[in-house]
Amino acid sequence: MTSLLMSQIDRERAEKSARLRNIGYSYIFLLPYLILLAMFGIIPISYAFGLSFIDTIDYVFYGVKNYDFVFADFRIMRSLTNVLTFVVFWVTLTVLGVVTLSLMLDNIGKRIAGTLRTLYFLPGAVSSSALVVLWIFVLDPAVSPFQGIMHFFGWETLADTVFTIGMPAVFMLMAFFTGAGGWIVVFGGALSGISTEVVEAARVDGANRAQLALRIKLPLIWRSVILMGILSFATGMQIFVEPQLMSMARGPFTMPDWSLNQMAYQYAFQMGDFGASAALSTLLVAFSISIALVVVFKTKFYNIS
Amino acid sequence: MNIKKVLKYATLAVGTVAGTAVVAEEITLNVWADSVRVPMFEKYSKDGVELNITTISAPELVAKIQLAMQAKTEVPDVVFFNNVNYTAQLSTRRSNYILDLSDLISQEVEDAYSTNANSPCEIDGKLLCLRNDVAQFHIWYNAPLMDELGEELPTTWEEFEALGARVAEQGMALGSAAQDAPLMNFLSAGGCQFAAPVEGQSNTLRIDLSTESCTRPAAMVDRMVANGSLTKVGPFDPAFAQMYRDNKIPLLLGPSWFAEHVIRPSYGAPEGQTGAALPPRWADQDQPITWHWGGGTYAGWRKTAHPEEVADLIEWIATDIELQTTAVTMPAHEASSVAWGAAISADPWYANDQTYNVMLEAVQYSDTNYTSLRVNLAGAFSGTVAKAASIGESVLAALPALEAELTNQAKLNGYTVVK
Repeated sequence: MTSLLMSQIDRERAEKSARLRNIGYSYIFLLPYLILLAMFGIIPISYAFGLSFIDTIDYVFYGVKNYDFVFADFRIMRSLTNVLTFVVFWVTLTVLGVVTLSLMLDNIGKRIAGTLRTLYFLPGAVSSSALVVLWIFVLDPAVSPFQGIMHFFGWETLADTVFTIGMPAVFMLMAFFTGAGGWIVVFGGALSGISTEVVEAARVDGANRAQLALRIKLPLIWRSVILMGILSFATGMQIFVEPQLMSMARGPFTMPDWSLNQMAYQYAFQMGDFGASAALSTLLVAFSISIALVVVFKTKFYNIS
Repeated sequence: MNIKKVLKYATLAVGTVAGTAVVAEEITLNVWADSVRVPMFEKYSKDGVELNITTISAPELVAKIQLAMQAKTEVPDVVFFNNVNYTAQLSTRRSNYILDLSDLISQEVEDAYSTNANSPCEIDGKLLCLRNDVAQFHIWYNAPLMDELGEELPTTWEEFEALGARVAEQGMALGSAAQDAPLMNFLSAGGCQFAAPVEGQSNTLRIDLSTESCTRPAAMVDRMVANGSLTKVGPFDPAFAQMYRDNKIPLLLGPSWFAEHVIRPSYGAPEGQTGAALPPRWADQDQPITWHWGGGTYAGWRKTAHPEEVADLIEWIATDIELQTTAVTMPAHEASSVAWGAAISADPWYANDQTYNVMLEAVQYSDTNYTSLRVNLAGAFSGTVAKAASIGESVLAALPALEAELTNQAKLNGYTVVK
């Protein structure tokens, strides 16, 4: 009797310590990530947050004057509009384009699909700075491989192309072709994780390919879609390289204050006001995080059921 | 620790122990410059002064200075600016870098500059830098082509426009309307005050684009874009270069560096083709007014430990005749400029031996409003009038947008704006 009780207590104790050990291991495995998160995420953001309330010239507390300065800048609303238009265009195109391509790739032979995924991924391996130069050529009717189409629309110069389709659309194209490939690979993984039994069952029940894709597969990978949306949104809000490098095309393409991140860069490195720059950066981070939180909680992203 | 330093400390130690002759401490000045100016700095030799030269690419310069001042690390004692606006940008409360050279460099040095050539360095009565080179606009023409067309060089903008209308019928053009600086030049030539410092009132700009001095040249540009005598592509566009090579550009308004750095290497003009002529004036003006496209400056750090040596170095590099004779662009210091011009006059690549004389004469017509500003003129012109011209919209109609952009920028950067 006693031994039975003891063994039960022992067992509980052993289970408890095993559980604790497991949790301990989890944290050990998480540790490298947490350290990096602190170094490159939390500490810089907190530093910027603190700096945004300081006059960085005399190092005195400045209240919200840096924020006032940012809001009083006539270019802020313009940049915000530019960036938001770009983000809406780009996130929409990314979600629709990547999901469509991935579902279609899942329908064809494995080998061809694998080759195509690799091909889609390749532009992502080119750095975005090189990509901008490439796009300047692609969009210039004088040298573009798509001359025929452009001449059909009556576009003769780079300005005709760029200003007719608009900057947000130009950057959307640039960013889509860089980023989409990576996501197509991720979605390939997500789709191959769907159990074949489910797909077979649906097929037996008479679902055609479109129904299979939209009614069965899509609902099973929606978390990945949301994740892609959130990450694309956050990246999109930070657009910097593309507008900054468009100035290489000279003439009317010089746009040092097209995006919010360019403005933050200008405040710090052209104007020398690190406080104002920190204020704008803080606003940018806060905005991206709030949108992400809203999406995460509205879609019950973490509910595992 | 390098050998030089070891030796220096060893000498110092010996000197202290011996308690005899005082060893003069060698001064080191930190210098930041672009790759073109670095070899110039390397030729500096003065007893007791050593230069620690760092090559910084032009677009990164201001950012690196800001960072260095913020981080309180090695801040350069002397810098080369490739943009005249940096002087004004770096002498604000936010980024107070610039050393006031008024009492360190004598009036004689300033007087030795070509007329108006040093105006970007003279802000509110203070001397804040020395100009390296001038970049005044004037006419660059294709001499054999002009002969073939049987046309005279225009001396007024009226003649310029009429010539444009005649050559446009043969698919030719007299330059581009889709680039910021040439557009500034068209407006400036009309006497337009798009960002003019107001005499006697510090930090005050006159920005008024509604006057006839602005609308007249803008309307001319519109008419010339409409008939094709000004192109909708910029001068650096491959299509423009092709027109130039195809002998479709009889002349254009370009800065002094345009022949050596664009027409010769990029457009590939052959020997004996390129000539210079004075910038046109409007028929009712007494003399032309001409804008500049660039022209670098040298400046010092206000917290340098050796202001005298800094001023000496700046004065030497900006005005040393022997050094400036081989400069890549036209020196702003007149005696240097004349010495530099000898090579231009003797160069058979130019259509005649008068090229340099014309360039020098053109400098004196420089717009005194070409100065150092905390307003990004290039950005404002690019986003409004240059954009309009590039897609065939009216430059005249874009003037209010340009005025709004310039006014907003000026106010944001702490200027009082008057009409």
